Amino acid sequence: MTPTTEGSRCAAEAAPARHRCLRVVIADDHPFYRAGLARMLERDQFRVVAEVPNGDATVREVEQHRPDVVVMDLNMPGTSGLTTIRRLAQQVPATPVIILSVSADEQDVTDAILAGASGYLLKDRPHAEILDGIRAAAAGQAPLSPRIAAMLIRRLQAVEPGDVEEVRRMVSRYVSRQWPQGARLPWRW
Amino acid sequence: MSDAERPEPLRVVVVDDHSFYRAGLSRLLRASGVEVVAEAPNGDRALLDVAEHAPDVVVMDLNMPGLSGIEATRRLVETSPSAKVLVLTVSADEADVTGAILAGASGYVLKDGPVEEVVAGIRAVAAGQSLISPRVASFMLEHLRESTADVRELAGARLSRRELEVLGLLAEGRANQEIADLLVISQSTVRNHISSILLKLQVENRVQAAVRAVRDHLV
Repeated sequence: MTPTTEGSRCAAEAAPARHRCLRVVIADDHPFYRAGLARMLERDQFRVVAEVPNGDATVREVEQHRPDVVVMDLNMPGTSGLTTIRRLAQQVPATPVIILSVSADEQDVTDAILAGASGYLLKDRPHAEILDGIRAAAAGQAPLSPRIAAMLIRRLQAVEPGDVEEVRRMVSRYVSRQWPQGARLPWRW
Repeated sequence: MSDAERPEPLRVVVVDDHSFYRAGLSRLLRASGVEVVAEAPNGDRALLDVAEHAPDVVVMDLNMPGLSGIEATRRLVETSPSAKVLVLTVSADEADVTGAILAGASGYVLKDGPVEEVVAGIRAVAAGQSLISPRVASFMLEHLRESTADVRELAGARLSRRELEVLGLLAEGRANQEIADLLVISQSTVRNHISSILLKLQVENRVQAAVRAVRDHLV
């Protein structure tokens, strides 16, 4: 809601692109965290164009300001983080949304990525790493904190059925083992 | 920090067919507190060096003559699982990224980044985590989205992750009690999952035929 320009080292909006700072919207329901993050970003050549405490305000401010990147917590009161990510993906598809969260829960991470998040960073990482990640997201890349990257790699490396044939084979194997004589399948237990 | 408190440096084997690059990288890594225990010019040599030196991390190029970086990674992951592989390459090609990850690499760093990223990658994979250059991580996210979408579309109503786990174990021939023990759920819950899976798969026309075929012993 409050555009922050105090202490910003960014050149004016009208300056050529190479001097222009990256414009960011911060969404987090903890005011101290939001303020601290905003200060950190402003010191590092970002311009925080809006700070918001919930999902609905996030969508509103992002639509208005069209920032280079949105930095969003997952757990905010009101509209869920996932719904907010989906709305942003629909309404402002060109704007990358990166999650900055305390949660390293696999379901949270997977859901966020499937909903359209470009990257996922953990709050307990070094500030420089978080800033580099936000910058990478603004550039259209996919930053992942090391623990998150490891989790996703493990998921990809795990044997998972990815197509109909695989499930068919699995069902056939199961059915053959259970009923080697080919008896009628009991669909109720 | 006294010598007693100083942590043991990470031990690394550097694998790259360009000798100048290998030497330069090794020098930079040593200056950053990483111990380079061996330098290998190709995949075959890398396998020998890893067996001999038992490093924490193997920094692996992809494009090498002879045994490819991806194949070397696959073999290392099988024979020396305690040595984590960090791929370090010029290639930002999707096939290479996906290939390396599926072969068992723990990280993927592009060569045109700063050496600090390589050092961070070494530390991350040694700690059981991963570093994927943001520029190529998007391939992984896409892969995740696609593979999840395939599976979920399968049965109209989606097979949940838990149902998939149960189905996978069933296909391995595990008994209900084993599945219950492995997933830390009750046997009746396992049966409920199986009912749900079968009912859902019945709804999906493509699989219905396969199930019916097995039931009628046409397979």
